[in-house]
Amino acid sequence: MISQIIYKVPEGKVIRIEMEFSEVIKSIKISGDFFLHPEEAIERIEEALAGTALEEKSIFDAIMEVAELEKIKFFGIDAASLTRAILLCGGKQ
Amino acid sequence: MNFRLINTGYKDAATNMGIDEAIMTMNSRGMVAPTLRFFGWKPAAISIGYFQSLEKEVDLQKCREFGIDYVRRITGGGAVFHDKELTYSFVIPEKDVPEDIMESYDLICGAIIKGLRKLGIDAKYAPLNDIVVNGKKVSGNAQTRRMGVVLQHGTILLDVDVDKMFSLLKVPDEKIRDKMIANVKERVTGIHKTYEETAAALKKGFEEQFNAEFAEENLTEEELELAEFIKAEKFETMEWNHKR
Repeated sequence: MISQIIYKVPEGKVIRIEMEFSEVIKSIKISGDFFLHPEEAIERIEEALAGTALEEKSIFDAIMEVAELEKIKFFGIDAASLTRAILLCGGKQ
Repeated sequence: MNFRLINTGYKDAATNMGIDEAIMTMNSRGMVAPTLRFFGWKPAAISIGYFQSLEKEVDLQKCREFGIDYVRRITGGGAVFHDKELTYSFVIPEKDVPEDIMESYDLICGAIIKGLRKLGIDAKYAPLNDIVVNGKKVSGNAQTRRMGVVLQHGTILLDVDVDKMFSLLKVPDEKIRDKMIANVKERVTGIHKTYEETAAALKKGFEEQFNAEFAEENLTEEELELAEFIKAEKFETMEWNHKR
């Protein structure tokens, strides 16, 4: 399936998810008006999510693994809100 | 610490973003001092944040119709319509500002607030990245850190044309376009000063905040060359502007 959603993080910024998925995420594009340092790490997150099961813990863990490796600082989003946006896009919430 | 002040005046979008990145690069190589730059946009332009989708945010056909430039920034944040404004960029080594990103926004936005107060404007910092007057946004700011250097750039709105801005932006749902326009009109305002007087006041604000003189200079030959190169190789390319 292919789906896209816009999710406004409470007290935060806007996340737009475009995703191709079945039980796993096949490919994903994350965009929006948030801040994330270093910026290029967004691509590492997208790569890590491709092939991840469309399920809360797997998604959250995949994001956190990259976040720790790349020492990511999030503003206006975080791993939990990004996970929520992805689950919403996948019809899981 | 020595600082430079450079007023590059009105330029097109790709040139403006090329100059910011060139200053950042040259500062990281230790070849130029930390720099405050003032500029404007001609033609008027939309810049989008690093993470935004160009096609989803911007009505490119309308931009072409009205002769409006567009460019992707190297900083995060939202889409900005650069029309009647003073834009600044500030480049400084990471070691010379707080490591904490919020604190460094506070420091640099503090310089702008000091400057605006010189114009009799009661401005306040609204974290993360806005400056407000009477609760209305007059300035949006965005920061990136690369090569050991901080770049913060932002806009001081002199006047806003919300209707024109929205004619160039796509909205998630056409049914709520009018509501969104009304909402932005409630939340955003210009300071109704000129480019020149705002620039002069901001210079003083930065001098106070950093307790230093900002010497007025021009871009170096190397910066100009590098800016042209970055403009052509990055900010004018489909690959960069359409990358998300």
